[in-house]
Amino acid sequence: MSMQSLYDISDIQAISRGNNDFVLKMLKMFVDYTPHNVKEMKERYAAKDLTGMGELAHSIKPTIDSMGITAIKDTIREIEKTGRDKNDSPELPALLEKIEVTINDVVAAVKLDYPL
Amino acid sequence: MEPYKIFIVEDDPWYGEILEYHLSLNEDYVITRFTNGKDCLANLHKKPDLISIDFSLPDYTGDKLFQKIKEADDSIPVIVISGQEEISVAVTLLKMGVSDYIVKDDNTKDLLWNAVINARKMGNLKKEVEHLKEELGQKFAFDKSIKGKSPALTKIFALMEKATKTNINVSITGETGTGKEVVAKAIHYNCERKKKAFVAVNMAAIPKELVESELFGHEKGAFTGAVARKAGKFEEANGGTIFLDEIAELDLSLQSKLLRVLQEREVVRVGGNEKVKLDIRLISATHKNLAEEVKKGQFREDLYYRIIGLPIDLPPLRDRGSDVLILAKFFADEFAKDNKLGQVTITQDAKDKLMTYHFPGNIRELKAVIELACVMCNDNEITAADISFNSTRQDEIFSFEQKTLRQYTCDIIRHFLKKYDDDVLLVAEKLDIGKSTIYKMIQQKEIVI
Repeated sequence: MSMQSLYDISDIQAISRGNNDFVLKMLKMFVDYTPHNVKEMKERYAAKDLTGMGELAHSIKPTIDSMGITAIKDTIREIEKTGRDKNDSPELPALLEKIEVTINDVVAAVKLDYPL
Repeated sequence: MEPYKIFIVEDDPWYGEILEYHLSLNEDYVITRFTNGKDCLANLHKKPDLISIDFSLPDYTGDKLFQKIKEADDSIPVIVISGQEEISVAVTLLKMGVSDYIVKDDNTKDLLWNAVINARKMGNLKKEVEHLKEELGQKFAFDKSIKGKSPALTKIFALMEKATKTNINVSITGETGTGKEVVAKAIHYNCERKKKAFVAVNMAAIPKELVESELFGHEKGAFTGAVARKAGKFEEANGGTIFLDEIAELDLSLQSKLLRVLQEREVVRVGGNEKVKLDIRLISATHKNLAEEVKKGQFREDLYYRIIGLPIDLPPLRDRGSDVLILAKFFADEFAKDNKLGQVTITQDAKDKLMTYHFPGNIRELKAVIELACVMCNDNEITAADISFNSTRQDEIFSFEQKTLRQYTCDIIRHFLKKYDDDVLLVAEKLDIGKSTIYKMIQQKEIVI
């Protein structure tokens, strides 16, 4: 497995109880939907819709947790909290960028690792 | 085993997929997933056994969707899964009646798994209770719980039928052992309140100082020994029926408290301030003449009028003619069945003996007499010799008040006329007197039929 440290799907494998089809289905869902959601989250920020941005962060959070993407576990929570508090922070663009870059890296890695 | 149908309402496809897959590991579960509240509501006709909803859906918040589900079918347990960690949200939802509230985190799927098991267990228990209530209702069908065909009883059935049609209070009078509680239960289990509680309280059996807290409940610390809040019998009966037996035994100060509760339709627990709204039907009973008690100043007149509602005066067994035999056979059959005795029969001489006795203890006494006869008889045949009366009130007929012999004669003839449905010829034959004697008494209005 390449770039193994970027993600860890042991949680999904545990839930699957050996059902590889389920694991592949979840990975495909991640690849298909998550980059799109991240893009939308950035767009909400650009439109100064902090609440909308926070709500998207809230919905992306369980995916990041289940995919074991530890590098951005805290980052997504920070964005979620900022959105909930409607507190525009100068650090937000960097945080959003970090999420986008990491997710894109993981998507690339998953595509390499699994026959989706 | 029937499949257990679960609806999952979750707009996040990732999360929805995980929950669906995890729950479907139990082969008994059939999962249907929706991504919005509207689709879930449109499919409620499929009768799900449980619904798991996400708190934040595109078209509904969890509380609004829960409310809609409840309006459509309040028997479906609902579990709410939410990213909201605020305790107030959980408390509000649980107060509204959701089965469980789960915060989205790493343990959600396991918590949901357990919540479904708990909700299923609770659902099974509810179904069992419903089933038992249904059975109880059948047991208390008029013709199953009250045996007899006498004209006196037919009139009672007609009154009971009327009582079941409305929520009117009912007051039942009758000698001890005439079946006042059985009638009260039959009314409850045949009216619209049958799915709610029937709570019976015998006022004569509760120590005076405990009556108030027993009826109206108490708050923690209301008095020495009140270690926790306790709901009273009125609260227990909310939505259903409260049966206050021997109501004439209630002392005057409590009568005024009872009157207030009945007027206001709300109760305040002893030591508390909170008013609990009541929706109850009151059935009261007494072996005393309440109107007489009012005259004597022993019972409040305003309470009397409040509780009297539909009065049902149960006839004593001695006025129910051949009902004695119907009941005797019923009790013999029941006793034989419970004790695996086989078929027990009652001979004609035993029947004659039963018909000539006045049963001061009424149905309760007859039951005891028959059960003893079932034990004493040989070859499952009850003869006159097996029937023995052990009433403590054998001479009661003569003990009420001083009368002339003529008055006693009238009483006896009147009693037999009632017993034999005003059949003058049969009564004359039974009492071994001339029929003209009876006709003369009727003509002179000493006896009214």
